[in-house]
Amino acid sequence: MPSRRRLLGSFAASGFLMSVAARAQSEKVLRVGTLRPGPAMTADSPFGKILVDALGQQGHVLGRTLTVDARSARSAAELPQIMSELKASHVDVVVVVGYPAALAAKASGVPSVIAWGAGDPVATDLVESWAHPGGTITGISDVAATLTAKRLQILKEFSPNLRRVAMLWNRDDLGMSLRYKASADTAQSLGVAVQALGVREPDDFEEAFAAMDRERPDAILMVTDSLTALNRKRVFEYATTHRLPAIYEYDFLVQDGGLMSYGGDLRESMVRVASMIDRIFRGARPGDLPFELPTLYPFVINLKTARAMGIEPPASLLALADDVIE
Amino acid sequence: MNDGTGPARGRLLRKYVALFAAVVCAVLLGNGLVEAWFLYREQTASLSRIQSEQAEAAAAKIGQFVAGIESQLGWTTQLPWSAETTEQRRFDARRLLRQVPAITELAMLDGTGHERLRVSRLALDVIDGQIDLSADPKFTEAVAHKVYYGPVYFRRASEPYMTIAVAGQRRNSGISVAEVNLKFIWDVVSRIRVGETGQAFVVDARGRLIAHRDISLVLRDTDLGGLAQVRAARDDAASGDSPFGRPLRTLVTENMQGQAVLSAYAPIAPLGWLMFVELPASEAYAPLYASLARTGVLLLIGLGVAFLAGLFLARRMVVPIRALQEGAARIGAGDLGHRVEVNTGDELEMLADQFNSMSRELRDSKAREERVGRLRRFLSPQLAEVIESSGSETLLESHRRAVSVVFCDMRGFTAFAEAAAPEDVMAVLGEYHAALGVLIHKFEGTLERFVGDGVLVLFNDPLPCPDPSERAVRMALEMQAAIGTLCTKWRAAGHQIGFGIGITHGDATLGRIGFEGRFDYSAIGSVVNLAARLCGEARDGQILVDSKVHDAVTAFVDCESIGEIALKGIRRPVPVFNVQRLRSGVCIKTV
Repeated sequence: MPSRRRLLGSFAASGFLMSVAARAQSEKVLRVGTLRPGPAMTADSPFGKILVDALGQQGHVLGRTLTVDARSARSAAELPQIMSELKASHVDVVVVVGYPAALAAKASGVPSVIAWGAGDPVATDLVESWAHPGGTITGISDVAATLTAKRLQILKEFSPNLRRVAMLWNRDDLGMSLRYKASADTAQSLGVAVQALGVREPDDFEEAFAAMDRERPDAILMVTDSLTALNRKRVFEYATTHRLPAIYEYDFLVQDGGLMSYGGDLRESMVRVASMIDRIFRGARPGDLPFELPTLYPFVINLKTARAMGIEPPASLLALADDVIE
Repeated sequence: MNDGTGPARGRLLRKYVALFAAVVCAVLLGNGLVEAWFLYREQTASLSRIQSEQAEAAAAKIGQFVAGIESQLGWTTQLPWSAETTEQRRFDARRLLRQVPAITELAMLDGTGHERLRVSRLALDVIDGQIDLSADPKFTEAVAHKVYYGPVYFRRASEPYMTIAVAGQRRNSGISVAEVNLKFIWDVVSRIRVGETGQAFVVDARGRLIAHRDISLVLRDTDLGGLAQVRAARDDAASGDSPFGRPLRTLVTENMQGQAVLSAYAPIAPLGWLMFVELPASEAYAPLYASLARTGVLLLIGLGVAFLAGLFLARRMVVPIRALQEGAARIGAGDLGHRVEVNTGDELEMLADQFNSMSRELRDSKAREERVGRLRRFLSPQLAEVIESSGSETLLESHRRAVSVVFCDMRGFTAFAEAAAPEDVMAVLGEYHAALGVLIHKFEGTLERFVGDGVLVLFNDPLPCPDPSERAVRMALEMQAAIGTLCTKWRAAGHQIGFGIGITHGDATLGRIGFEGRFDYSAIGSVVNLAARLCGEARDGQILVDSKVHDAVTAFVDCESIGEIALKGIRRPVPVFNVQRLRSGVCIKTV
């Protein structure tokens, strides 16, 4: 019967269209924005590559179903504008690094995942609680405040005669205040004095170095953020020239020439970030994804730098290093 | 007249098709249902078994993970407390931390339960803190049972941790207390493959989720105590049944997302945790449903095939029957030449052959009837039958034979016919012919022709007889008697009618004369003419015969000689005799 044939035909056609639509749906492109103070986290940068690989394993192919819009902020003032630009270009998720960027992301309301550098999110009021961030931000914490104390302890172990530590930090970064406070408390218990050297602009480094020249510390503890990361080479140089043991927060700094680092494994963090991005893309709200901590904390020593400094790391410390760069 | 159509037409076909299809359908359906039932039972049993085994294997992996940590911890309690310095112990502890990433913190208590060393990944190391833990279950349990597994607790209300305390073999080795980050179990759990879409998770003794592929569920401190499978598993554990003594439970229930799943569990023994392995019911039963669907499709196909086969076979059976039925209808309608064609090689073909032979016989018999009918017109019935039974009409062909010819007619009939009413004429003729007919039949003569009141009867042809003249004369005598009676009656009615007979014997030519559609069997010859002339000469009551007849019958009849008479058309005068009566005392041959 012609009417039956027509009905069958319409069923077939609608079924075909639905499958095409479903395929189109599943072909929806994941737009990821990255905002990093300092070198932009493009798909080719070391961390960007880890992110893209991890996303690829979730089924998002760069160039086909995944686009990465990498931004870099030279100063904190640029952050709100960059965030609004990313929002206007309809990104699904923004990966942010550092406390100022996290603040800007929270203010903009774009779903964001903090990769590292935001410190203790609950104490800094970025989120409501670890288990239930609420709002539009989630991510991986770098337990910065707690680890700052640990780093001081490692420095003390490196040079048992440690009496004064210079702490380079970004005065404009409000998240740093907690770290400073933690380090101050620890220093007291370790019997060490902290020389706080706040920098705000690249020029401030000269001032900081001058201050360190005047009152020579026994070691340097550098807090990583945009400013300090951009100027790390200068710090490495100064530390090496003046034979100052220095400890940094992340191992990529040690690979670049820093002496030691102790902190969360950023590779693991990026993989977790990718997983969170995937969950948000599939419809989860960032406020429902618990804030996570890294599970691995590598301790890395750069022996090349140590030799250049003419310092021999204690054997026990060297034995306990997770990675030694020679 | 049944012409082969009607309400019953096609019913046979439909009946057989329906019957065939119904039988096959019933068989297929029954088979399919039985198969499906058994398949369902076997499948669910085997699924449950597989799930159970998977749960046990997964539970074993978790158990191994924890046992691994425990055994690593054993390194730190190997030596007695006094054998190592604190620095050495600290170094060993940090090496352990490096070796076992799952341990976030390691505390070492001496034999009295005081904390002597604490090494941490995150917090500051503490040396000789001297915190008194002698009353803490970490210490007491570990001393009592050599190992202590603490309950799962959540740091920052988000990260799952547990305490494992291990005591050394020797009393004074002290206790090592490790805080284990249970996120490392997530690694093990997320690698467990359960079908395509199934998942595995671990629940602690209180029903809280401690490991799941989706870590965010764990970090949110999800309480799964409400799930049916968790409750059932905890009931099992509470009732104290040994998990080795009975089969592990599997349930079809809902998972935390509300999907229907097949859930199996296995206990992780020393810890009191439960390992759940869940497979969505749709995937678990997919092969079963696929198999059922296959059976259904096969059933439908079988039905279709059965229907077609039934149609085909029933048609094969019904077509010959219908041919027979139509043949019968047509034969009944009069088409006797119709042949029923059936070539099935079975009883139906035999039936058709018999049908055809029956119709053939009908046809033959009808033709015979027609022929007999034709012959009856001019032969006595027995003769017609004899000719018919002999099957040939050669008797009717022209031939020469010595026959006795009897010619008789009524005297004064013409005058009577002129004067009397036609009804009276017909009545008289009717009585006359009736009487003569009986006698001709009695003596087996052949009525050659009758014209008005004249009747010509032949003897010795077509049927031969040994005494033609004798029969002719006897018949003539009885004719005279019978007609004489009739004449008396007619005269009483006022009709002057007489009856005369002439009989001769001699060669004549006999056969069919006439034209297509109207033949007569006739005798030609002078013997016929003579008989006619003699009859004309005969007066009422006379039977005039010629010399041949006279010679033949003189033995048993009385004759008188009339002398020699010249008759018209005959060259010479012929001696004529009159037969008067049967000679009395002569044995009359019965005919």
